[in-house]
Amino acid sequence: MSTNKDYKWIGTRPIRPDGADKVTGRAAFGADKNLPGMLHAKILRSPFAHAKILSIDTSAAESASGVLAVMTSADMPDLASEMGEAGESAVDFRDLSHNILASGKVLYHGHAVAAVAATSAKLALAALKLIKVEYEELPVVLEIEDAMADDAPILHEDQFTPGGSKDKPSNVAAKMKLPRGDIDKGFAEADIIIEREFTTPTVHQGYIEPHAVTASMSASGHADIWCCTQGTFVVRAMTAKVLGMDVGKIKVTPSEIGGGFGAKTTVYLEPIAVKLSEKTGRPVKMVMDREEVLRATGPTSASVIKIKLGATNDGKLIAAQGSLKYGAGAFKGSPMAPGCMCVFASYEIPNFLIRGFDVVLNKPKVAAYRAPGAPMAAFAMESLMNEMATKLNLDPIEFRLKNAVKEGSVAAYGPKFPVIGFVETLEAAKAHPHYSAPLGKNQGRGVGTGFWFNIGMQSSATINVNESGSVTVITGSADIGGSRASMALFVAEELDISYDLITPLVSNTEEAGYCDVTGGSRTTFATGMAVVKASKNLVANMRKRAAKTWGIDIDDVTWEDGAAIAPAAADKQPLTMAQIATSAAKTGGPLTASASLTAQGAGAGFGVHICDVEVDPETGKTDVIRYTAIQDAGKAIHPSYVEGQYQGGAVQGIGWALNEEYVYNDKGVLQNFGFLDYRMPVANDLPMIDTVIVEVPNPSHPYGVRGVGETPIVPPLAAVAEAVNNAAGVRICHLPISPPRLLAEIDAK
Amino acid sequence: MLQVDLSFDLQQFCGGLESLKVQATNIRELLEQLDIRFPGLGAKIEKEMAVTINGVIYQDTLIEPIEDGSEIYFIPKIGGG
Amino acid sequence: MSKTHVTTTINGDAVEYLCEVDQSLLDVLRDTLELTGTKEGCATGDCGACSVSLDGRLVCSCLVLGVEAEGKQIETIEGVANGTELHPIQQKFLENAALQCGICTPGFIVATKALLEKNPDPTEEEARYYLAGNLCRCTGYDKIIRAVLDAAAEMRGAA
Repeated sequence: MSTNKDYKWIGTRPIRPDGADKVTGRAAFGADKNLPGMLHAKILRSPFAHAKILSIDTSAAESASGVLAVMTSADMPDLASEMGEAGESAVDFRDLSHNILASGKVLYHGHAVAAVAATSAKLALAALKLIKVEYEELPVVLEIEDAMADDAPILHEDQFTPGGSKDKPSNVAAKMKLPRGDIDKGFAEADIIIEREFTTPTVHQGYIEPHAVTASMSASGHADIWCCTQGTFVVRAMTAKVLGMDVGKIKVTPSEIGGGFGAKTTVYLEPIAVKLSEKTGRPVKMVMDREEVLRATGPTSASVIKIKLGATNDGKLIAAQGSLKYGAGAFKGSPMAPGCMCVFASYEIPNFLIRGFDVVLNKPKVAAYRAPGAPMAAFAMESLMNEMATKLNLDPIEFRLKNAVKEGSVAAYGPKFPVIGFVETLEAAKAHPHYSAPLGKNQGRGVGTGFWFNIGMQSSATINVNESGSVTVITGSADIGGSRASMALFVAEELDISYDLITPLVSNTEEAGYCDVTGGSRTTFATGMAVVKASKNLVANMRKRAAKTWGIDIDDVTWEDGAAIAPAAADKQPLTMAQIATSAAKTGGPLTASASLTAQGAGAGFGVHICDVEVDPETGKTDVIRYTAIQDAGKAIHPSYVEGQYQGGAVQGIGWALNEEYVYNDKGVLQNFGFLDYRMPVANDLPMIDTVIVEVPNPSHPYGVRGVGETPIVPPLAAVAEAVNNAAGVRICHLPISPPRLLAEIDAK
Repeated sequence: MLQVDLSFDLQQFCGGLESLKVQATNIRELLEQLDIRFPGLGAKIEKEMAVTINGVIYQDTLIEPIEDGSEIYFIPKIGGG
Repeated sequence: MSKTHVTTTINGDAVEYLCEVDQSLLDVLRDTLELTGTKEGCATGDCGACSVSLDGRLVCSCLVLGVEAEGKQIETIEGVANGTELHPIQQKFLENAALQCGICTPGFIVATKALLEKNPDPTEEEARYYLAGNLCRCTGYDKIIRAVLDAAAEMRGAA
């Protein structure tokens, strides 16, 4: 199913350039940075989920042994509420500041209140106990619909629902409405209507590396930050804003990053470490522990999604209505809008009405998590698609094919789709041997599909040629899943030289050109575009050097097999890249090329997953016994890492479906704050995850790339739930499908 | 002329208008024209939204050329994980 | 509190260090000895990122005290390769693309080495159960398990 074009390097599977360091322990991650004279800082966190801070007395802590500085929100400038660009998406800088250190109120259990820098982590922790904070407890609201109620405890007295009351503050921070056609007429014409409500719990991205930073402020007012992040330039922008600094005074150097999945696109520690370093004149290191990660970073929204779906007897969708409520955590900004835009995006539906609600409540502020908002929406919609297919007596993939969007279809979120590969992906799933394999007792199969937009944004790349003809390619895009290998493959293909001659680097904010975050499945697409463009500039330059050397016109020089050739001049021997590089001094100086761009035309990605489970009717335990992820990549640059994205996303989705959930007590205290109880999938929970890479090239990218990282987490929730339904005969609309919940449903049957 | 269709949420800024025709050759001109008709609309779109031209999403750009007859739609900016 | 003197062997080197009695072996390795290849993911023994071998036994170094290393043989990720020559497990992890972010990789490689020393020919299921104490959030384990089985086959062939 590959494209016909023959490439030498694109689509091959070489060993990743950073691999050797990562299998030997040599690679430096966030917590691996140490500096002479370094202090360690720790954070005091709120014991209440909602309370007024009446006073903070830090005097005893300040005079404690080994303590050099204590910090609270009073050490940061008071920011006005202002939406600003900070890399990936808009952020309210005041909320960002108040999430880093609470101001006036604490809004969730674990909310940071103060920080202490001391000569050791142990002394810093001891000093935290000496900080006296007086709180006035407030009522806690944890559930989305409770927070939307008229008499709900209000988190922010100055937050009003747009278009709602201007006098009465509300926890509903934003609303969205997407209508099309006439739903009353549509449902009236429907032969079958199904309506159900679905809920998903708060879940965490679950990266294995906790957040970590080391910061050092110089006497000249320049701050150095080393941290694990998906976007160094976002760390720079956010830290500058929160501390009132100029971005030019901050240098952010990325460490290797031990997983992010969206959650390392914001800052929690960096401004605190910089401020404490400024206060003490010493480098300051901060490393979260797992409990802090789970209590106060990440998670993604819980959701309450109600969908009504109408179809005609010939298997066409005719009407749909959706109400999508997402919990944002303590500050506005759940992925409600992309959820609303995704929920019906895969199908042609003439009449629909989508309403979305962004609701604040006393849980940590959500952060992006892989296709933000889409998995919950797809859980609801795809579950109903499966149920509708059953009612229509249609094969579930056939039913989807009858309604699938294709080029020219008007997406539910407004525009017409350009070239997309949903139909091809569905056909590949239908043809896969897994789809028709026999099943045993207590086993069932389910399918689910997923859609994500993918994004472009800003990227830069620089290529420096060494005098031997080998090259270094520098970008500022964090490598979270093997993107350095992809960058090297682009350069190898464009320059027509060996992959082994290329060293790809992820550099700091002062040495690399601006790059937005690695997120939204944009790096191979957009930073790849910048790398391709820089490579083309370099080839043009090398052709010019050859033309000068030969004394002929540049138009008579072509580039083939890593060398300049003059096809019309038989006496000119090819000039290899190494030869051009060696004599570069004599033809105009060192060879270097750059490119920067705002990438446009990101191609939507569609995926179809097939899941087989076996349910133990005695215990309610579900085992995934076979799983296949099929997705349109546009073009797979390094297929192993594309497969890896499909597999990893699928397994995060399986965890979301079967086990993962934040469990709170009624005071808003998270009960499962470690990996033992926040149960992510482990190796013996799973089978191999088969993959099929469909390639319907994205015409907007020089190699046809679509993003691949987000889509794989979208289909599994419904695929797993449907497989459970077919195995156990119970339709679960509330995740996770944990053994006690499933057992209760089976017993109630 | 360009065919500009407005999402429901944008229609609230334009007195319920669902679509309009605009003469523009790039995104900057398009937003300027919208700002003339509905003061503040162009600025709001530039800050908060992405522009789709015949279905292809353009985010954070003013210079993208637009061919005559194109279909324009605005969607919230997309982020991602 | 005065520190305790510990004499031990790490990756074949005789090592002495001073540590506090409540300091974990993981913290000693990372902070005192600057062997940062061993990672901390949870400090509660749930993720396996800090896996090391202690007298031939696979342990989470976050659950071992630094003082307990007295007189023991410790092997960490830094001791797996022979100089710049990768161990077959490391090589197979690279060839099978068994890592994405790489934070769990040192723990997986140390654990895989322990597995293959006990059981040179594990089934897929045996490999999955043995490595169930090592969390990976990026790969879904597929390519890790393939790398482990591939390395086992290679090591049996080479023996």
